[in-house]
Amino acid sequence: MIDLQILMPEIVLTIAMTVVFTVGLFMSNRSVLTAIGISAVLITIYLTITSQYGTAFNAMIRIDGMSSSFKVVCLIALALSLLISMSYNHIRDKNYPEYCSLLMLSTVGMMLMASANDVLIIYLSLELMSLCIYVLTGFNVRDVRSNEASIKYFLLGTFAGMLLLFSIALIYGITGTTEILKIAQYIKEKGLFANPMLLFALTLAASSFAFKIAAVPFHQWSPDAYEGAPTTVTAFMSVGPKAAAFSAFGRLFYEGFMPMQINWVEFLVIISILTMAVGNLLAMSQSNIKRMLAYSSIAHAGYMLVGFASLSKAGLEAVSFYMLIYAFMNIGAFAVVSHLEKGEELGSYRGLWHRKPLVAFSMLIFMASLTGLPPTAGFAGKLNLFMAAIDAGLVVPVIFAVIFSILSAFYYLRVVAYMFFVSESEEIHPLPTPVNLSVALFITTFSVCLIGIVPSVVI
Amino acid sequence: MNEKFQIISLLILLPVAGSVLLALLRHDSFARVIALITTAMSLVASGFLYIFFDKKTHSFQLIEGYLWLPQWSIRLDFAVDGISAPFILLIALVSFAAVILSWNQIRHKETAYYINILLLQSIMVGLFTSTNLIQFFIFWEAMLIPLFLLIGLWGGTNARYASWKFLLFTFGGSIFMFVAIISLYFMGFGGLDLTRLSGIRLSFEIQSLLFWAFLIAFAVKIPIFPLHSWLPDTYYEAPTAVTTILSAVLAKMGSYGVIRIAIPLFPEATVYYSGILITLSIATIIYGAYSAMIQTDLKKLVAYSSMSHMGFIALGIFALNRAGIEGSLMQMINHAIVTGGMFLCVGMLQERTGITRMDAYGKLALKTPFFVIVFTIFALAGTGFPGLNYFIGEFLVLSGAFESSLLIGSLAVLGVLLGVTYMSCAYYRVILKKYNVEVAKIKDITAMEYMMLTPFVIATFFFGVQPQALLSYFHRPVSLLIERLSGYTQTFTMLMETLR
Repeated sequence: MIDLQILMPEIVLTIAMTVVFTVGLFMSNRSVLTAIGISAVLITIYLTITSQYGTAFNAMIRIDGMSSSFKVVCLIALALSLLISMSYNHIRDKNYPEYCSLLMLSTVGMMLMASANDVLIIYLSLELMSLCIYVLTGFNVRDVRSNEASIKYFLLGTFAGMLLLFSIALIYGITGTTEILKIAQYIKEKGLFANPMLLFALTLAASSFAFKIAAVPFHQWSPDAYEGAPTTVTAFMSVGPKAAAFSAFGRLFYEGFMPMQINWVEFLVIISILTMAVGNLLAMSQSNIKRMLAYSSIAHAGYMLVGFASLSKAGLEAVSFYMLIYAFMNIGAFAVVSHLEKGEELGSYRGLWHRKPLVAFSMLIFMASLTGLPPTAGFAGKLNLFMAAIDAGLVVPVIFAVIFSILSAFYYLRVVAYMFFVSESEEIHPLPTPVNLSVALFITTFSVCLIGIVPSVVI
Repeated sequence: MNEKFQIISLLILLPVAGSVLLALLRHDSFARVIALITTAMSLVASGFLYIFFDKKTHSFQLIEGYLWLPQWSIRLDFAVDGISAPFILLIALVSFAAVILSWNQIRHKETAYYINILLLQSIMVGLFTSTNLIQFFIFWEAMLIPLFLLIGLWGGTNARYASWKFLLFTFGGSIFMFVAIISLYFMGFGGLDLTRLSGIRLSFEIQSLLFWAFLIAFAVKIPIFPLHSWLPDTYYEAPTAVTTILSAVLAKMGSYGVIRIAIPLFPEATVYYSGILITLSIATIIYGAYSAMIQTDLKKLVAYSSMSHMGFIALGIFALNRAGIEGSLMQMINHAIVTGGMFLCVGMLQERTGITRMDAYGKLALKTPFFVIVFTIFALAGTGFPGLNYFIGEFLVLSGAFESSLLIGSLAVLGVLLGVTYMSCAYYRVILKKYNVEVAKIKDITAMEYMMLTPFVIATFFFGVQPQALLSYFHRPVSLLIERLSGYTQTFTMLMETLR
């Protein structure tokens, strides 16, 4: 019974998923379905925050503060994505129930991944999460780009999944266990700090997670997948899977491979610097906002890797804190993109401020926050990450991170300049902003400002 | 004053509340009224702070704050001391004047304009009440976006270029400060609290590095030659109300930062490098003055004169003696009043005719006698006319400069002379030259503008005859600074000898 109690949030969300799916068979009223989904998510968030810590199912599942915080990030991403999807008309009414259930099912996968204490559970939940997202990426069946994105993501993603599976096989072959803490114990007892086979397994696992968080050199899928996917899905997959992957990454590397740390810290530092470099430099030359945000998302994965490489509890906390902020600011930005007609093109932001001052204002806040300008949350998040990294002695990657943050101001503020400074060429009659989007923009903008001014509300 | 009454929160939150109200109403027709009421209320509140301030102590008072980032125990604590208290009143006064000056000038997208002005006001108060470095940095950077928009959206024809240039310079400069702040945090002095840090003695090498990192950020804002090139563009292109805020308050952020952070934290480095900085300050004075002389546009002329006067302020600070620093502090307030007043005059002319070129004007006294009186007062004050406020500050700065070296003092006096020259040229062209039909229909000061100008004019006279009203605020904190510096004067004198 205690096992089920620990797993209660996941169970509730799964039931809610089936409810949405069943209700969707009889009616396709978007507001009702979204309302069910979001209320289920809010209940799940409550359950996650209040749930007791401990292990379940023969230590396959472990709940602690860290996993809870990553789960909350995934759930917030889900809630916001559901909210902005409600009025997104590239998804047809007929398919909306499936769409919602896939989003929710994918989040169940993320939550399991965050609470996994066993490499096999990590793999299974990773596949559960990914399979749903592959489908969601190709959800616009009639859109060629969406299909291409989905196939590309599917092929590469499966390959990355295989890498993890191979790594698990090797780990099991050497240590005879799949439980993370026992792996660490075994390594310590037998002194396998530099075992080549284990190192190989470690590299494979790291590659697999690097794929999921879109770190260099496993980032190539992300711009195409982000661009092709329906914008609301892009919003979701830029946050949720990353949070889940960081959580599992943390579990496996902070605990399972902890005894071998000397061998992989430098490796992570190099990856993080490369990721920041590629993300930021390529984002500069994009004229498509979704691609720009895709590269920026790579860059942000780089910043988070800097904090992650600090190998301290503070570092992982900083990553989860940043992930939360990132959920608000990035989904907020994608909400604006999904709202505008041809929102992908930089040109359609021309003079947005004259047409929709409040939307432009929230976009301004998101861009400032993504740049890391105070007093927005982005600054608090970055400061927290960098402090954790410096505290662990990683000065060089932080210097790079600061330099790249300055460079990033260029492409984020370019959007601001388009919105505010360029006058529109022709008179465009703006669509009214739907209520759900206004609510979503209000929540995200407010949270970004609030967390920036009083970060202690969420820490 | 009752410690429970949180006046600084009030001063910061009042403009924020005003801008939230504006955003909720979203009605351009009474945006300016709300903005005026908000700034007037802040003005009254800051007046109370100024009057009830306790001048007998050098430490921070009216402290209030909260834990900002718990993991690293970074707090945001707001407080004032003798150095910052006058600035709080100044910010409220300048914002109030800026709203009135914009009253008829800004007639498009007013809601957004006043939201930005009000947010800027509370950020400025936040900056001048900061008691730790990260807090200082947060407010320093927070200013960028409102200013970027204010300059770019409501500025002149070339405003976008100007606002990008402004952003790049300020952002670029502040990054050095950020790096310095983070490295100070990890030197392990237990936080970034200014009071605590100023009690610590760092090694000279570290001091030098950090000193320059901070000083680049400050020098951009002051601006000190050769980091000034954003200034003419920005000052000229920004709407005149914003230019007034820029020259009256934002320029002071730099010099305030030097006094608040650079000197107490890095006294040895300050003393050691003061020679270079004095040279650069003199260069700023003279460069600004000569540039002002060749301008044909009144707004540009005032912009360069503002820069030249900021050079005096920097000179006084780096003279590193009591007369110099107190003179500089006094001059910071006076500069805000006089140059701010000049920009208000420019703005009033611009509002009436849309022209800032000087050759468009002439014989203004025939049409606008009261305007001419006000203009004359500010022009005289700007040249350092005895009995007006500038005289005292300039005198103190000059005596500080002479105290440190004869050469520096003489060069500074040259700056004063140049100031008289360009100001009288400008005065001749705008006020005295032959009658120009182009501006025949110009109208005199309105009641609203009297409200805006009166505090500035009164302050010009009042601080001219009653400098103690201002200087008394500075005595205690400056004594503390001088005490801290006194250990290093030996090195300083040696340095001065080589300079001679």
